[in-house]
Amino acid sequence: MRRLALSLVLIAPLSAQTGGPGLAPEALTAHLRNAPLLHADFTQTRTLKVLSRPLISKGSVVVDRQRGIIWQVTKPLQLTYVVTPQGVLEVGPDGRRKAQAAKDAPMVAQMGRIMQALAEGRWSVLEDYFTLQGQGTPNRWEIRLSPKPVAASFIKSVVVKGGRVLERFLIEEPGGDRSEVVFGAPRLDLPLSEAEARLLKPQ
Amino acid sequence: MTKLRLRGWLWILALALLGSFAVLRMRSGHAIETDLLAMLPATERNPVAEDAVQKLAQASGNRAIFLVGGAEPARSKAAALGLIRDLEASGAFPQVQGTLKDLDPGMVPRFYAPHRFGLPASEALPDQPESLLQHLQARLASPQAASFGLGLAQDPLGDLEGFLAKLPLNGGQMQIQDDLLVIQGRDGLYVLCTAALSGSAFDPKVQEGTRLAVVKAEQHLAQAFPEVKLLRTGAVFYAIDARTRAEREMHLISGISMVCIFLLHLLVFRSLRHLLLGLASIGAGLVTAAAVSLIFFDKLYLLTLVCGASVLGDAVDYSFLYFANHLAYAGEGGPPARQARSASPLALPHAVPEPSPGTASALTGEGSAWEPWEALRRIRKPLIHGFLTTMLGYLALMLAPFPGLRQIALFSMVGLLGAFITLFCILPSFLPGPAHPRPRILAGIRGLMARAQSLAQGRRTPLTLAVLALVLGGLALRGRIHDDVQGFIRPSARLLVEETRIRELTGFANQGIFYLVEGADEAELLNREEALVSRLQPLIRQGELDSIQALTSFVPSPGRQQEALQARRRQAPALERALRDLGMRPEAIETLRHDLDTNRLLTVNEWLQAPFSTPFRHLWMGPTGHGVASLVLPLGSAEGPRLREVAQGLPGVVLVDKASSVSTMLAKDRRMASWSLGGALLLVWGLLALWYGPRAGFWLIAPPLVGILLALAGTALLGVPLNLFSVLGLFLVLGWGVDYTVFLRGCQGKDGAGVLGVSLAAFLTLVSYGLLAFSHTPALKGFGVVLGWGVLGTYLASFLALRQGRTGP
Repeated sequence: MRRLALSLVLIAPLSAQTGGPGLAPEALTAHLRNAPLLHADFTQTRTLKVLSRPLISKGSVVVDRQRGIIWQVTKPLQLTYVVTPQGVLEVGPDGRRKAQAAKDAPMVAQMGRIMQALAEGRWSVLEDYFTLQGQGTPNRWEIRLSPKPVAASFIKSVVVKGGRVLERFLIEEPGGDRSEVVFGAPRLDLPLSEAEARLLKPQ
Repeated sequence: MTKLRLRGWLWILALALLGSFAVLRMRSGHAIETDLLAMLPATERNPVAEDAVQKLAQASGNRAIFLVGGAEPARSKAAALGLIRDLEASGAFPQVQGTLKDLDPGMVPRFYAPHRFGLPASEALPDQPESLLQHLQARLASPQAASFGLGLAQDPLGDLEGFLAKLPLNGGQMQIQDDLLVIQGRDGLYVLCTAALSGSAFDPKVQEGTRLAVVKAEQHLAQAFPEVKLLRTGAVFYAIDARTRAEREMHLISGISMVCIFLLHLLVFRSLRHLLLGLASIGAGLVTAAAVSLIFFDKLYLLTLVCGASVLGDAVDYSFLYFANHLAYAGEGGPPARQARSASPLALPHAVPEPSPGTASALTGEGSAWEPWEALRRIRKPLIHGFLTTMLGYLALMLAPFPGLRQIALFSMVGLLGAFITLFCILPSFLPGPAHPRPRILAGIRGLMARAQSLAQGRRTPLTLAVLALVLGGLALRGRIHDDVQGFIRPSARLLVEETRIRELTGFANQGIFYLVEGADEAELLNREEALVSRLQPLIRQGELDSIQALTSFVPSPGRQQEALQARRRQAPALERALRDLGMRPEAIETLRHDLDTNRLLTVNEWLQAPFSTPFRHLWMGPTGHGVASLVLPLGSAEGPRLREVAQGLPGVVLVDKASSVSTMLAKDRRMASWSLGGALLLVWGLLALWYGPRAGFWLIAPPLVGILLALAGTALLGVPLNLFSVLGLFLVLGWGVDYTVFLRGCQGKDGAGVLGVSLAAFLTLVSYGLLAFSHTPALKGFGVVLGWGVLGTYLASFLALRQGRTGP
C-alpha cells in the first residue's frame, strides 16, 4: 500500500531549480505544491520470483491534491482504484464496485493519510518508515528510501528517479520480488473529467 | 481514684488483647481495602459473570495509561521518550511500554500462516479459472500490491491479507512512528505509553509509588517541554484520587471532632480528667471496633474508617451523660430550688429510680457524698434504653446486603459497645470526687430545661407540631431520588477530562458493559460468539458501535474454519490452473498445494500462546463449572438496554452491565429500607410504650420523627438526591433521637444533667456527621446532609420528651 502512496505522489512535477549531491528530499520537492492536479500514464512491471514471467499493467493516473487519487488500469484488464480520505473504492472489470471505508480498515485509512500528506509534498510523513536520501541535480535526481525496522519486513528498498518530472521508481521486497513503475506523458493543465470528478466525490 | 474493680481490670486486659490483635493485623498490611468496588455486593446471578467483572477490571485496572502530546510532533516524541525514561528510572513500574523496538510486524502473518486456509475469506470467489485469473491479475495490477501478509506465493487471492487487515490489532487511530505508538489529534501529535503497575491499583504502596513517579516525571516534563500536555488515565489514578480525598476528609473530620470534644470538655467540665476519660472511652471504642471488625472481615473498607471517624463523636455520648450527671451533682449546694424541682410533679416514678434516701440526703452536703458507682446505677436505665434503641438502628444497617454497610454497622455497634463497657467498668473508678462546680452553666441549663418543660406542656404544642410535620412533609415530597451507583463517587474533574480526551484519541472505551458468552465446549462457545457478532454488525454500520472485541475476530469457530477450508479445497484445481496461466512456477504451486493439504485448524489455546494476543487475553474466561466462557466487548456509544435487546434470544449470551445491576439493586434496597424504617419506627415505639407507657412513648418517638421529616425536607431544599444511604442515615437519626429523648426523660430529675448531656451529645454529633455534608464524595455528602438535619431536628424537638400527661399529681 505504501507503494501506491509513493508512486502517486512522486509523479508530480519536480521543478526545483537548485540542487546538488546529497540534497534533502524536501528541497527537491519544494515545488510539489504548485500543481494541484495532474494526469499521467503509467506502466507497472512486477517481477515475482514465483512467476516465470513478469506481469505488466498499463493505465493512467489522476492526482487531485484535495480530493484524492484515481489509479486506472487498462491492460491487461479494466480496473479502477479510487483512494480518498474516506476510504478506497475498487471498480472491477465487470463494473462491480467494492468500497472499503477508512474506519473499517485502519491500514487503508493510514494509506490515505500518507497519500494526502505526500500529495502536499510533506516528505516528513515517510520519515516514520524510511530514511530518505536525495542525490543529483533537479534535472537528473534520485531519492533512495531505506526502511526503518518497522517497515523492514515488507520492503527492502525504494529508489525514485526523475528529471524535471518523475520518471520511474523501483521497489524491492525482502524476498527478491520487485516492482517498477514508469510514468509518462504528464498533463498539468487538464481539468478533471466529469467521470473522474464523480469518482472523487465523497460518498 | 477509687480502686479499679475486678471488671475494670478484666476490661483493660481485654482491650489490651484486642488492641494488640488489631495492631498485628494492621502491621501485616492489606488490612485496609481502598477498592470501592469491593464494597459492592454480588449482583449477577451467574457467578461466571461476577468473575468476568473482576477479571475485566483487573485487565484494564492494573496499568496506567499516558498520552504525551503537543503541536510539534518532534517535541511530543522527545517528551514521551523523557517520560518513559523517568517512569522506568522510578522503579515504580515493572514494565513501561512506550517504545516498540522489539516489534516485528511479520509476527502476526507468520502465526496465521499454517492456519490460513481455514480463515474465512471476505468475499467468495467463483470456482472458474478465468475469473480467478482475472482476480490474480487485478491484484498484481493494483497499486497496493505490496503485501502486508504473505504475498502472492503463499496467499494468492489475498484472503489472509484481508483477514489480517480486519484484526482489531491496530487500535483504530494508532500508528507507529520512530518506534513509538502515536495518534494524530486535532491539536497535535500524541504519543501513547502504558505502564504496568507493580501490584493492585488499590494497594496504597503501589499508589504511593505511582504517584511519586508520575509527579516527578510531570515536573521534568513541565520544565523541559512546557507546551506539551500529559494526559493520564487508569484505575490507579482514580484510586489515588479517592484515597487522598477520603484521607484528607477523614483527617479533617476527625480533627474537628477531636477539637470540639477537647474544647467542650475544657469549657464545660474544666477538667483534664473528664477529657482524658472521654478520650479513653473513644479509644476503647475504636480499638474494640477495629479488632472485632477484623475478626469478621478480612479487610476494613476505607469508607468504614471515614464513618468510623464520625463514630468518635457518638462514642462520647454515654460518658457525656454521666459527666453531666457528675457536674450537676457537684454544682448542688443543696439549694431549696433543687429540692423543689427534684420533688416536682414532673418526676416520673417509673422512669427514674428514686434516689435512695441516703443519697438524697447526701446531695445536700456539698456533693461530698458523690458516689460514682451509685450515680451510674441511677442513670443506668436511660443509658441502657438509649443504647438498645441505637443498636436497633445499626441493626437495620447490618441487614443491608452491602458487605461495606454491614461492616460500617458492625464497626459502629462494636465501637459503641466498647465505649459503653468502658463507661460501666472503668469510668466511675476515676471520678471519685465531685466535679468543679459550674453554677453558671448549670443555671443556664436549668433555665433551658424550665423553658423546655413549659414549652412541652404547652396547650398548643400538639397543633404546632402537627402543622410543622405537614409543612416538612410537604417539602420532603419535593425530594429527588437518584439510585445510580455512578453518582456515588465523584472523581476529580481533571481526571474525567483527561480520560474523556484519551478515549476520544485512542478509541479505548469504557468496559463497564460486556457480553458474557458461554458454551459446553470451545466449538459451541465460538459458534455462539459468531452469532452474537453477526447481530452486532448492523450497530457498527449505524455508528452505534465503534468496534467489537471478540475472540472470534482472532480465532474463527472450528465450523467456519472447516467450511472455509473445504471451499478452498473445492476451489484448488481451478486456482491452480489460474496460477499456471498467470505463469506461476510448478514448484510454487506444489508448495501451495502441500500447505493446503496440511492446513491445521486454529484453536484458542494456540492463539493464547502467541505474544500478540496479550492485550486481548482477558476476552477468554477459560473453563467454568459447566463449559467454557468468553467476553465480547461492544465498544461505542450504544447503551445497556439497546445492547440487551440486540442479543435477545441468543443461547448462552448474557449482557453484563454491572453499574446498572448495582443501581437497580440499590433502588430495590432503598425501597425495602424505607419500608423497614416505618417498621422500625413502630417497633421502637412499641418498645418505648412497653417501658414508659403508650402516650409517653409517643412523645419519646415524636422528636426523632420530626428529625426525620426535617432531614427529608432539608435534603429536598438543598437539592441533594435521596438514595439507600440517605434512608440508612434516617435509621441512625431514629436511633440517636430516641437516645436523646430517653436520656432527657430519664434524667430530668437530675437538675438539668439530662439536658446538658443531650445538648453536648447532639452538638458533637451534629459537628462530626454534619461535616460529612461537605464531603466531595456524593455518597458521604448525602449521608451527612441527612444526619445533620436529622440530628438538628431531633434535638430541637427533643423537649417534647418532657411532656407529661395532664394527670400528674
